[in-house]
Amino acid sequence: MRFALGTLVFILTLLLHAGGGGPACAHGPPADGGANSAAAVGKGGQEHDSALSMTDARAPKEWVEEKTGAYLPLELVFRDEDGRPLSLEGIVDKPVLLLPVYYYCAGSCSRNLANLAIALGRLKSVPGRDFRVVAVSINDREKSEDARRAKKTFIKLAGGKIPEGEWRFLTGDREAITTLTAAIGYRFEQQADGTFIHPSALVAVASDGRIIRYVYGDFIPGDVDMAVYDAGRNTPSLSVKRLLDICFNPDPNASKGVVLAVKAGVLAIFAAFTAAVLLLYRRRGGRRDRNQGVKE
Amino acid sequence: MTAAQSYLEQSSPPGRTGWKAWLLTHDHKRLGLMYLWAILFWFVLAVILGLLMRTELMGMGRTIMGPEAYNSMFTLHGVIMIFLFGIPAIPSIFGNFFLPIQLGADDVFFPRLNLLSWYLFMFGGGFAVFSLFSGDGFPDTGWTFYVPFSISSAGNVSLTVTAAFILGMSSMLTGLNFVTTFHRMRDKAMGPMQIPLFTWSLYATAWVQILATPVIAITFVLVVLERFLSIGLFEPDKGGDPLLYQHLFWMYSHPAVYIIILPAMGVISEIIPAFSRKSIFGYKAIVYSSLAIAIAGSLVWAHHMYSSGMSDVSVFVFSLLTFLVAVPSAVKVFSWVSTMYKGSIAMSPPFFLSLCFIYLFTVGGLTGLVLGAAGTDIHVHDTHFVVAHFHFVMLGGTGFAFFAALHYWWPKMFGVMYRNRPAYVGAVAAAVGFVFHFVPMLILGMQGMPRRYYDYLPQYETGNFLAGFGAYLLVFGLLLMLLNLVFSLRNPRTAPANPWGGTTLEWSIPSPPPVENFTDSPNIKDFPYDFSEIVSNSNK
Ligand code: HEM
Ligand SMILES: [Cu+2]
Repeated sequence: MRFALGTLVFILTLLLHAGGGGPACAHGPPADGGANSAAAVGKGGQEHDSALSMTDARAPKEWVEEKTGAYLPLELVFRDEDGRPLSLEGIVDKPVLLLPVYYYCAGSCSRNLANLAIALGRLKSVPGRDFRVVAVSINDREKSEDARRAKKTFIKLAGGKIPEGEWRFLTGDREAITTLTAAIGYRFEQQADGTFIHPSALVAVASDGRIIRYVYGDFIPGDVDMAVYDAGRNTPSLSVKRLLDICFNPDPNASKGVVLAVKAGVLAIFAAFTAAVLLLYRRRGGRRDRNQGVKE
Repeated sequence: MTAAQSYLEQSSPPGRTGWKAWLLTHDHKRLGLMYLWAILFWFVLAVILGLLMRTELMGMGRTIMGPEAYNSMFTLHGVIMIFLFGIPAIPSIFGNFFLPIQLGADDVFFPRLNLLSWYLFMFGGGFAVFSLFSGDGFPDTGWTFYVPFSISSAGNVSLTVTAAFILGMSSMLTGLNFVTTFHRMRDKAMGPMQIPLFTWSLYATAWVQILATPVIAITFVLVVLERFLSIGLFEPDKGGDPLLYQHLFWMYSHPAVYIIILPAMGVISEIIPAFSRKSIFGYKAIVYSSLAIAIAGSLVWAHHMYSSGMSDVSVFVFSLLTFLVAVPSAVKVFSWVSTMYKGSIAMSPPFFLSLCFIYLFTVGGLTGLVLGAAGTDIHVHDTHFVVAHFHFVMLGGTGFAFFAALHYWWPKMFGVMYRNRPAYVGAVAAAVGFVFHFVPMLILGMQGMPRRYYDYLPQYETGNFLAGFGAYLLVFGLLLMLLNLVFSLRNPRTAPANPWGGTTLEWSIPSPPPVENFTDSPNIKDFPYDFSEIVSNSNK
């Protein structure tokens, strides 16, 4: 019994210690604008929400509604790294890995781009020969200079595994962006501080613009390979649901309440449980022993 | 004592007959058997699902099923194997049956609560599987059910979390019974260092369980709130945290790993000395390392409480703890091997299965170290390397320990002996099949084959095809062992009280035991693994 109590005290101490510590942010560095309420949703993503045809207003909206088998609007025109207009038709002539991000993201966009750059070096398929990578900024304020800078960083990180011309970094106006994201069922929202909430996903597209497969999680080489392989055969396929990472600029204070409530709840249940045990001990009148009094 | 007075004939409380004697029993031994049948059912079902998945993987492209079927199968296989086999099997069956006996008690501290746990287990299990089939489409996110994937796409996740909660309650109540029985029902003559190691391991596990279950309860409340009130707890655009669920989930699931492996180690610590005719080497070291694993498990848990998200610091701390858990595990392996050294080994099916455990578990632990080193993890993460690693731990470890326990305690539970030859053939087939199935998976994983696909790139075909034969051999072996045991139930109940020469209390009472376990007061040895009597008897 003494041992049990000791354990209990030890655990409670740990917990109280834990309760005092603030939660670290979910991921990514907290950005300067972090004090703004994350709940304030900008107008950015509103228009294409209706396009996602959510019937039940209360049901949570999907961040990614897969459109596997559908075709991209290839006539859309974006800007390339030098600011020249570039239609999707011009670059979707072999399998393409399409990655919606924005280049000055405080969340996980750069980690995603980096993961992809690293994965490129470990693939069974050959970047440039078997497929091409296209990053598209979802932020219509970003300019081709931003794209150029990002390109320099990530081409370098890929360590020469992909020819420069085979990884494109596009920017575009709002209409082109929302048409494209609606076509791939990708929801994003702008926050009051100008940052975006958006899912991290990569879309594999066949050479005729058909949507083949979605890749989630950390873009591990195996996933990327499978996507390229299926895109090469032009066979739309069910994606594998790894963790869906939502990229956002976390408000360090927003979820503090919830996290504290959770910890308090865990503690409360644990305390109630311990109390119940002690009470039951009492009611039972201590040791219940078959051979009570028989032996010393 | 005649067999007619055993717990199989006499009911507790007395006077109940027919189905009532079972479904309303308070007897920890009958409850152990009721768990046995339920868990065997789930296990066999999930093994068949595993074999079907492997069959699909034997050929490239679609072999016997498409991606939807494959995805629902690994989800179902994972859920059953973790929640309905791995976590409950050893504590609920063998713990219920033998923990009170090893402590010299006549039952657990709360017999009626014990019955309630069984009903919760049955209900939760049915509910878990039902929840997967209900709703719009079978979940294909694997047994981890990551929100926001699942919160928005599959309505059934709240049901599944409910089921996990019910099952968690069930194992927590069992844990509560173990802790209270350990402290309050133990024979007065038995001091802490006279307690058998199996019981010690269950005691340590019970604490981890009591600690971890509140988390799943809270997760349950949050998911239900989110489903029905849409307050956006997991929705960043409503101020929520999309990683909160994942965080809570792992807070529960990390300790679950220790819940799965600790009781298995307890089983092995019983079997090795019994068949070496030699006292266990480093009894205290094993006790303390069980407690150390439990405490390390709780530390991982506390660490989760402390920080949310995986910052660099938490990745580091987590890797460190993974390495630290290796120390007490290694202590145990060392103790087992030293116990066998210079022992007079009597080969038997449970002993052979324990040797398989030591070997496979060690490999599992070593591959775990590869994963624990955060750096290497990146190469192999989400590949078949990870899948093979946890099968080494959970099937090679807990699974083989479960079969060893079945073969060790079967004569005591049912009073019958089984045939040795099919047991050996099954065990060898299972062990060889295991290696031929999971070693190719380790290699495929290192080559980069991602998990959770029904299909793969052409260069992985040979490995996957060959692994298939291993899987069939493995499943053949497992089923052969089970059938051999089940058929032995037709044999006359002639098992001696102590067929193996064991020294713990369950071997001092008849097989099968009487309802009240001990008709005379138990004779508590100064040291639970004192073989001097057994050895001198056999020398006569
Ligand atoms: C005869 C025995 C078994 C066979 C043939 C088998 C086979 C498999 C296969 C082929 C997969 C899917 C791999 C993938 O594509 O990702 C898998 C996944 C899994 N298995 Fe087993 N398995 C067996 C026993 C077990 C046992 C005993 C446990 C645990 C106690 C277990 C736990 C799991 C888990 C947790 C997964 C992952 C499911 C997911 O990805 O969500 N398996 N198994
Ligand atoms: Cu971002």
